[in-house]
Amino acid sequence: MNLCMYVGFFLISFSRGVTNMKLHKLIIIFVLMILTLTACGGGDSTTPITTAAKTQAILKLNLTGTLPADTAIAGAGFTITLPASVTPEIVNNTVAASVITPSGTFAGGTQIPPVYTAATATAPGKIQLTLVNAVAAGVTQVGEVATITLKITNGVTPSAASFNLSGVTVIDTRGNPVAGMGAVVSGVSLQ
Amino acid sequence: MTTLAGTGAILLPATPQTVPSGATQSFAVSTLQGYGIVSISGCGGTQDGANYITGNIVADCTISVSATLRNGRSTGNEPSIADALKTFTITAGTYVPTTEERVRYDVAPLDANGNPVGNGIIDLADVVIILRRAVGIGSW
Repeated sequence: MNLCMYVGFFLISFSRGVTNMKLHKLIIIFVLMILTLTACGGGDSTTPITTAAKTQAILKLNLTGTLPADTAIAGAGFTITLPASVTPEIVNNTVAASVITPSGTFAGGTQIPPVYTAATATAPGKIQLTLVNAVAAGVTQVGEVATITLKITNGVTPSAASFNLSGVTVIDTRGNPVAGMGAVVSGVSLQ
Repeated sequence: MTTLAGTGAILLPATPQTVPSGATQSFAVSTLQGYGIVSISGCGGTQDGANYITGNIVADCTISVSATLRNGRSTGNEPSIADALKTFTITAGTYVPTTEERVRYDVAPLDANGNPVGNGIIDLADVVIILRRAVGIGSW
C-alpha cells in the first residue's frame, strides 16, 4: 500500500463523519479526482525497475603464437595493467587466492602468490602472475591458461581491450624461454 | 701452494703446487653435477671464466673454493612455493639474495636428464622450474 492509498483512506474515513449525505458524496468524488490527478490512480505507481551495477569482471587469459616443434610449455609469467576502478580482492595485504585460477590448458596447475601494485595518481594498477601447468611433460597447445576475477567499482564496464598485457614470458619444460609467444585477454564477462 | 675445495667444488690440479717465486699458476674450476660455485679466493688470484689464476706467488698460500647445490630451496628436502616466490622477488629486484642463494635459486635451464645447470642469471625460468618442482614435477 503506497502513500496515496493511505491519504485516500484517511480522507474517505474523515468524510464518514459528515452527516450531510450530499456533502459526503461530494467529498468522496473530490478525493477520487485528486488521487487520479496526482497520479495515484494506479498504473505504474510502483518503484522504477533498475539494473544492478556490475561488481565483477571475469577475464580469460590466453597464450598465443606458434609453439616450436618438440617444445612443451611448463609455465608462463605476465603483467596485467588494470583499468581504473578495477582491482583484485585483497586479503591480509595479499591478492586473494580466488583471484587467479589456472584454467584451460593450465587447469589444475599452480601459481606463486600474485604481486599486486595498486594504482597511484600517475600510474595504473597492475598484477604480476606466474603460473605453471600440471602436466609433467608440459603442454603443447596455446589457448586459455587462466581465469582472473576482479572487482569493479564506479560503474565501469571494462572490455578485453581495457587490459594491457606486458612482460609475457613463456618457459618450456627444460627451463628455456620459448620465442615467439604472446598472450591476450580473450574475453571479459561482467557480473 | 695448496687447494681447499669444498663439497661439490673441483679445483685442478688438486695437489699442492710449487712454482718459482713471482710466478703465477692457473687452476681449472668446475663442480660436480647439480652444484654451482659460490666463492673462490686465495693467493691473490682472480677468476677468469672456468679458470682461477693466482697472483704472483712469493710465499705459501691456499686457494679455497666452495660450491652449493642448485636445489631451488632454502630449507627442507624439496623446494616450496615460498622458494618460488622468493625467486620471483629476486627477479623483481625486491629481494637481494646472498651469494649462496644466487647459486641455489639459479636452476634453469635443466640438462637433458632434467638436472639443474643454471646460467648465472636468476629469472622467470628459475621461478617456473622451482614452482614445478614444488608441486612434485621433476626429480632433482
